[in-house]
Amino acid sequence: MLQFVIRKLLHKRWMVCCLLIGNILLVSIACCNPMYTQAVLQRMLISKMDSYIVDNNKYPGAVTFTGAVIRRNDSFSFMDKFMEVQEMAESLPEKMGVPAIWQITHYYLDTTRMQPDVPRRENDVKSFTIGFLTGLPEHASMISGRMYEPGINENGCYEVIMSLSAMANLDLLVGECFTGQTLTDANGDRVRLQVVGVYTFSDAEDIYWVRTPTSYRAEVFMDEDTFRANFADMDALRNTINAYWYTILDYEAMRGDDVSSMYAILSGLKENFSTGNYRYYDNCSAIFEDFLVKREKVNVTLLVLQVPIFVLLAAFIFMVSRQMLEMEQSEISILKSRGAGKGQIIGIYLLQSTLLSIVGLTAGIPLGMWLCQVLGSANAFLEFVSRKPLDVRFSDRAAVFAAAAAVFSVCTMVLPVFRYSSVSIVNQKQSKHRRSEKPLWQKTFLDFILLGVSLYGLYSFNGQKDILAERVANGASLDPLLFMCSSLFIVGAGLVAVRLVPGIIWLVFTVGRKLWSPALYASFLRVIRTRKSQGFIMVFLVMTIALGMFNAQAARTINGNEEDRLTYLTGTDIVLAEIWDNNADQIESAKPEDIVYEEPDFGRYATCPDIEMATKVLRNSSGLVMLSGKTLKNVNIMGINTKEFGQVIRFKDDLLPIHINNFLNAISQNSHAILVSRNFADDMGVKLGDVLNYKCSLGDNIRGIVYGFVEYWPTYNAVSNQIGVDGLEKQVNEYLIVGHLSQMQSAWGVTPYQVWIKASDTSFIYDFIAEHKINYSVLLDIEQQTVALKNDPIFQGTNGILTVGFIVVLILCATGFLIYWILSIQSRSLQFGIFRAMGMSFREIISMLLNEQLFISGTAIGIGALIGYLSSRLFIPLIQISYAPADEVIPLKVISEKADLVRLFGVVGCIMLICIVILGVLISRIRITQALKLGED
Amino acid sequence: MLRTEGVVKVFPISGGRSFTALDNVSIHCPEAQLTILRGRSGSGKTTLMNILSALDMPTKGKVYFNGRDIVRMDEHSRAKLRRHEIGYVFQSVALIPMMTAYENVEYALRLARTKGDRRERVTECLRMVGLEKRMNHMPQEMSGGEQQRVAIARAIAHKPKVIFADEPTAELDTGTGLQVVKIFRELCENEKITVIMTTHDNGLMELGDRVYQLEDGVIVNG
Repeated sequence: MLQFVIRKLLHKRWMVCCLLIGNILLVSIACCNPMYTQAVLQRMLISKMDSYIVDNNKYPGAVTFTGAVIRRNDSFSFMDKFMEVQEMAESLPEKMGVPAIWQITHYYLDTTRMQPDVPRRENDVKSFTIGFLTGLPEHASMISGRMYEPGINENGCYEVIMSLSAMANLDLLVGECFTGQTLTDANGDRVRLQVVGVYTFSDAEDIYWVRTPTSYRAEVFMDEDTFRANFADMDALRNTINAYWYTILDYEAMRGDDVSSMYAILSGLKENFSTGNYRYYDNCSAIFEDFLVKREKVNVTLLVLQVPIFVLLAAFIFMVSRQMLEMEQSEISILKSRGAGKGQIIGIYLLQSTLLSIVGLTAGIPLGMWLCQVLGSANAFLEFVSRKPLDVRFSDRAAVFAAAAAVFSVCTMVLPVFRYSSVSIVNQKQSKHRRSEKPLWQKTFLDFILLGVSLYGLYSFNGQKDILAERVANGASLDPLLFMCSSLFIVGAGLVAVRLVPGIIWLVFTVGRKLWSPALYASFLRVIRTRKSQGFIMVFLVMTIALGMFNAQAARTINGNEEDRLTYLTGTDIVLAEIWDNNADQIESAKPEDIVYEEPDFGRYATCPDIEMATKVLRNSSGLVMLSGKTLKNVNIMGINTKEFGQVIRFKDDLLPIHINNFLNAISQNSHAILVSRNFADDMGVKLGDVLNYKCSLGDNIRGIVYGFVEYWPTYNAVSNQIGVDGLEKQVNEYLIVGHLSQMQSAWGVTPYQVWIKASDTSFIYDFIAEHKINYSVLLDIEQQTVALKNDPIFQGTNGILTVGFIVVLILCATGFLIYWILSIQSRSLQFGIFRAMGMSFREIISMLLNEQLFISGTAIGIGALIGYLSSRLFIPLIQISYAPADEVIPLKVISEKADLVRLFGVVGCIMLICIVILGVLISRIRITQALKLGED
Repeated sequence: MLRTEGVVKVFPISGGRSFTALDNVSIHCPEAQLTILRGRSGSGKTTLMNILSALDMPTKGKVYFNGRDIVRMDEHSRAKLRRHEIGYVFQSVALIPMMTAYENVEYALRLARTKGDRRERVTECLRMVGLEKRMNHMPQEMSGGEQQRVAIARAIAHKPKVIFADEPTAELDTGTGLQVVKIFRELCENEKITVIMTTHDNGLMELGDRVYQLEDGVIVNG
């Protein structure tokens, strides 16, 4: 049977090729999802940890336990617990599955008083905290003196070392000896210590130092073994022992997959050790928590984005395998007439599909891994950058996904066999003699049902837009149903259109029935009378084009709007607020208006060659406005130099009804002229020309004449979310006044302003800051922010998947198209023979095919484009919500890049062209006599 | 009307060898007569038909159609010739499956660029073969004999000078076969059309004006 199947497959190379393409793509996309998610989350986890170090100057992998065995009179409490914690700390790396870089134990005695051998004054007594720190000699360097030696030295002392801060704090000298007032050793003798050196870290970056040496202000350290033998012998304990256990886990070895289990372990610890002397701290729980939320979101988003591609691939495989079956129908019925059972026939196809799936698996998995790298380097739609390659691993999850895809594809391929296998030779002949029936979906009105469901979904989602936005703001992921709705819409609308098209063509045909040339006439009849075979290719093409357009526009919109939002909120290329020197610590009064600032040299900006333009912008958010008895607090005040401001800002022209420069020109005419935000005007009932007084913490009232109202202004957000007194998030109106900087400076003095910089390349600013030793409180760099945005796993994944989806769409479109037409030519060679014998010329046959192409592919592409456009308009604004959280600062626009459409239709056009050339060659090769003879069978 | 001179047709077959299907065939088919080519399966009848009807080219020899050597014509002129002057009836039924009986017949007229009222001519042709009542049926909905008759109607619709019929009766019962050949006879006599048909049915021989017997690519009587 295997031989039979293989021979059968070799015989149908074209079909097999297509099925393989479908299978390979299906498997690779299916297994790419978990692998990519895992890899990108891994990258996210590590980078979160990395930035934790930068932000907090702490090592994120550090875990700390504390404990103590406490002596009360002659009994010791908490001994068991102490051992338990010790055990816990030691076994933590194993439990977490993360290797520890260092495991450090720090034991210390209660602070004890000691007398120097050579007192420097009367009652010279020092309070020491004696202890040890595992591995100290390897991580410390001696500033003076030397490292301690184990045991008791020739002075009868235990040798200890101290930090610089301990030396200063306790006022010690290197070489001094001390005798304990109460502390005795095992023999009952009073303990003697000698300070032999001052240590500090050997390397400032050494993560061994969970606490820095300077934080050990009363601690002196001795040799670990000496301490354990003389003070911490658990069988003969005499003193209270306090302990810290530091476990420094190698965060770079943490796996994103294990985060939930690691988080569970750490949470358990936190609960267990939260009382008295027994406590537990870590740095990574918060990172894990954040990670888990994000992971869920990434998982759902990416999966949901891929669903339409899966549907398309399944449709493709189904279409091709059905075509193949159609071709083999007579073989099947012959097999049946020779006594083959239904089971046997299904068996043949099962074997065949399994073979294809296995090939799909072997080729699809490596392709999937490669796809992951492609996804990881996606920067925007159809745009790639070279990033550090992702650490892609073939995980169990990926294997499960790949296997599921393979099984799914086998099912898709075998399913239609059930119908065909029950067709006997008699049925087959009979069915040949029947007019083509309506396909199942038309009979069941599936198209209208799907369209209805999707529109209802759209309607109800639109109704609860706010709730949706709120949920997203609270960290929820994209509602999969929403994305399903858009896919359903594409499928449903596509089917409806395909149902209607033959009717429209019929109408055109009937109107000009007498006029059509023979070629057109034949094309018309074919399109009208043989719906069944074209229905599928049309649905497929419509879906492909619509999905391609939808993907392209979704990606462009998500990226474009986020970038626009970022640009709007930043205002220009670079915003820098220097910290100014002032006399605040020299004056008595704490009033801000009394502070005198020292303005840094603005000329530095003017002379820097990398800066195209720089301007001063005064920002204050505590403005107070008085207007006819009413007072408005917390108004945002912005003081600008109109001309320069207009040149520096980045502001989209369409946000305001007229160009922003018109507003700037308007207020430049009068030094008292101001612009106020629209909500300010509405809430306060301000009209053009009204005069109002405003002031802020910086100084006195300024008179302002209202010259205009603006809804949008660089960086201005009309609504902000604030946590109210009740702890709930609420929306607060933000008001804005824009006035002249000169006016404000003359009233309030020269106070710290922001420098807004226009520069084509912003990277110079870091050198600039270093060169001029600038201290700053705010630095916004639009390029840096954009890079950060693009590196976000959700953005990256979205871009990647939409891009890959688009490419898959193009591949499927090409192969689906070619295979359909090649098959349709092959199966019609008899017809062409007849046409040729009847005297149709080669040119007429080609033009007949061109017409068919136009009717079938052309209309399908047109419908696809229309549906793609519609679905983008309808659904993208909703989908966008999950990317741009809560505050929709500027109005959303569905962006379509012409280049994408050119690409899509360019590819489609090329394919059609290639197709026609291939068809031409195929047809010219058909020998009429042979075709006729073939037709006789 | 139709004449061949020393037609040879050699087909290449696998292994670099070749097979001579026709060897030095010279026949003559006079105008408005029914010429029958007979012979066993594989004797070269269909090959000869294809060459006579400008569907295929001989390896050697000449074919005169109304005095013109069609071997020398280019593909376009031959298509034109087929379109206007030739009608075909194929061995197996070869109607265009997506067109009704009426449309099949009309299509021949469309191809021949016949202007004016085509409906009348189509109805007339279908009446001639006794099928005017079934003209709106699809080919699949008709029996083999009916389809064959539609094919004949289509072949004569554009008033060709010659009709080629390759085993038109092969799949029909004797009665229907006889009926079909009778239609051809009538065409010869009433419409002055030249008919050339192949058959292996001895019972039909007497209806032909001329009979050529083919055996292994050679005319054995004549």
